Amino acid sequence: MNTDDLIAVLADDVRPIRPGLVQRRLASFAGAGLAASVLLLLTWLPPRPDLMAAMGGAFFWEKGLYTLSFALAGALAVERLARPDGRTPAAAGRVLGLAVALMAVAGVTGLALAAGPAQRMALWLGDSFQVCSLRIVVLSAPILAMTLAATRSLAPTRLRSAGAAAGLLAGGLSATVYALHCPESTAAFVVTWYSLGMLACGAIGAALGPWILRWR
Amino acid sequence: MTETELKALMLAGLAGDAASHARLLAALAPRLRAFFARRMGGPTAEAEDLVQETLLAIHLKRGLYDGSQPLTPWVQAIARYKLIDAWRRTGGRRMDSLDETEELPAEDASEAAMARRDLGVLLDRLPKRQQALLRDVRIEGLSMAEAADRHGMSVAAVKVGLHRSLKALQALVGRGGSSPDGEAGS
Repeated sequence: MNTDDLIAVLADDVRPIRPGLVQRRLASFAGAGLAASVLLLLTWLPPRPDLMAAMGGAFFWEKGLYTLSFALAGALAVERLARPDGRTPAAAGRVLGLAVALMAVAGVTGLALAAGPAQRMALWLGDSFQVCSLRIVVLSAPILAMTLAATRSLAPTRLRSAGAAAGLLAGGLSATVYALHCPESTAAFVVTWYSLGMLACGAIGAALGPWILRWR
Repeated sequence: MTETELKALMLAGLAGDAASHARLLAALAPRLRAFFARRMGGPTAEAEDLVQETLLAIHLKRGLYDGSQPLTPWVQAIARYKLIDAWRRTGGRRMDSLDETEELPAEDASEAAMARRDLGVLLDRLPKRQQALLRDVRIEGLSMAEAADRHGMSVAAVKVGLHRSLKALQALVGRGGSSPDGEAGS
């Protein structure tokens, strides 16, 4: 086909484009992944026994805000990076930096107030540090599959960064899901093991990006 | 055409104005041709493939253009991506043939490139129904309504069918649609 013919064919295919395509695609795919992740949690791990009581306290929500801020940073970044000319927005870094800084200050304060080394270790390691990060990664799998699929269906050109952002979005959501099971409630624990799990999701996304996000 | 004019055409096309969209693509085609020729050692058939792939991508991905951003970098980002993707796909082999084509006289190469872009060859590889639609509307020049009558489809269905065949065409061009085995290397 010569190029002029192609242009004529394409000009026959013009329909008005509804704005907000990127946001709608990401939201619907991430939403489906999130639902799958919740189902996975329900079939795998029980909700924390004190869920109702915990929801009456502040830290449950602080923990949720912390993990959701990772998801927000990932969403802000992937919303740009899913476009051909997209770059990582400064706002994503600021959201992430602020969240980590606040939780780290709370964590260090908690450790400083601890009675002794043994109690300090207990605050930091909790009862589940060996499994926390890995479980967040496992729960992120369905979400990551969907955020990567959504990103690929758009037109990213910085595939590693776009993959990392899709992974961070998935990790932030899966950590929020995991918090429905996990009763750990110290800032030192969350800022270490939750962050590790969520960042691992970002790293997995970055590793997969150049392979999976190539589009035609 | 300036950035401002190109962007205005793009925004009008996004709002559904087909004439503006056609003018935009026609204005971008020579720029893309120069872009790829400069990087592929002349106006080769491969370069023209990439011009077409890029035009298709601009068309199919135009919903991803954010009107608050300039248009030219958006187009360039797609062109650069297509170039890198083509290099990746063909591995080292394309680089070897680049050295040879660089010595060809530019105008002959360009004509040969255009002649090789045979509409029939690409069309033959689409599903029958999509072929028929593209032939009727594009080659015989039927209107959407006439094509709808001929195939007993609604106008909306014809539009969707055309859209699908464009996507399929893009996949074919993407795989190196004019090569007989359908794979332009791996």
